Amino acid sequence: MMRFRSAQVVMIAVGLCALTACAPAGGNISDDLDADTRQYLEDNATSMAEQMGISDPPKVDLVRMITLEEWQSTQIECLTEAGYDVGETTDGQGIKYPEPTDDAMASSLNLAIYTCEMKYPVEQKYMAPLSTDQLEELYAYRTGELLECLEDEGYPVSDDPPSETVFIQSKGAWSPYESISIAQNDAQRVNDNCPQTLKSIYGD
Amino acid sequence: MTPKKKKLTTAATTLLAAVALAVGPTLPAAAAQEISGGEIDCQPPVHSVLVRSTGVGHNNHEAGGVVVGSYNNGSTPTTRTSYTNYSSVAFWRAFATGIGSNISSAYGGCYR
Repeated sequence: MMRFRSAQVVMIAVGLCALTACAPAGGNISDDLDADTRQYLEDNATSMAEQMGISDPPKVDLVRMITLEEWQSTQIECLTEAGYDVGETTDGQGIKYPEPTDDAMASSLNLAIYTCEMKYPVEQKYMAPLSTDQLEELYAYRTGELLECLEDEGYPVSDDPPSETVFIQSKGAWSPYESISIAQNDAQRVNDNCPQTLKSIYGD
Repeated sequence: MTPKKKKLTTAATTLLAAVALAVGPTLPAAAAQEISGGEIDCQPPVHSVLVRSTGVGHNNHEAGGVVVGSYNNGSTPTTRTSYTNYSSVAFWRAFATGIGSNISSAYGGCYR
């Protein structure tokens, strides 16, 4: 498990200061956003602060909106600049945070995560609920190409998928990854070769 | 969700030659902000804890008080698995952060 680096308190303090004071030159980018996007960002900030236990969230200037694919690398870079020893999860898809050694460090880490998320929020189109057409496309992919891919990679799925009707009613809450057990040292390869999400669903 | 205090029995289920997965109870929910469970004690040959969830948006995995994996699934429900090097934990949870995020199912278990 990763731990905080030495001199972490100083680094974190400097990093957080840099994070929250890092307004882009020429004014606040959020001023140029449409009302819908501004509302999305405000709602996301409120929700995230509440769920992370941040009672007095700082004002964070938006640097830029990012694609879903950029999320992991952007957050890792931002948190690293803030002084945290973060990295990829074993499957290469997520972020592994350092292990806080006390409550103060846990709070500082939460604040840094919140700040980086507000600086580089994911574009709204990636977070909007999928339409029926999008769910149908996802169902066809997951019950066809994805199952074949997993079998080719050595992970056949024995469980039958749900019907398309059930899949759509559940808003797509089924993935063949739920019923297979992938070896830790195989996780990144399989996830890279057999992605669960279709980029085309978002028009990318 | 109130943490379950009941000790989970980790019965190994060999699914593949290289992997054995001892699974705690799958805890489904229609759309939860958090799904959690109690103690996981992994014994050989399934000696390390994992947390798995399916959900949308920001999904995070915690084991023994440490966030061991954080993912952004966007609006596509996605299954994520976080592997740890812990042999046992007193508590695990999968939780969602950010607007539109939720967890549809999750469990904690063991792997080797």
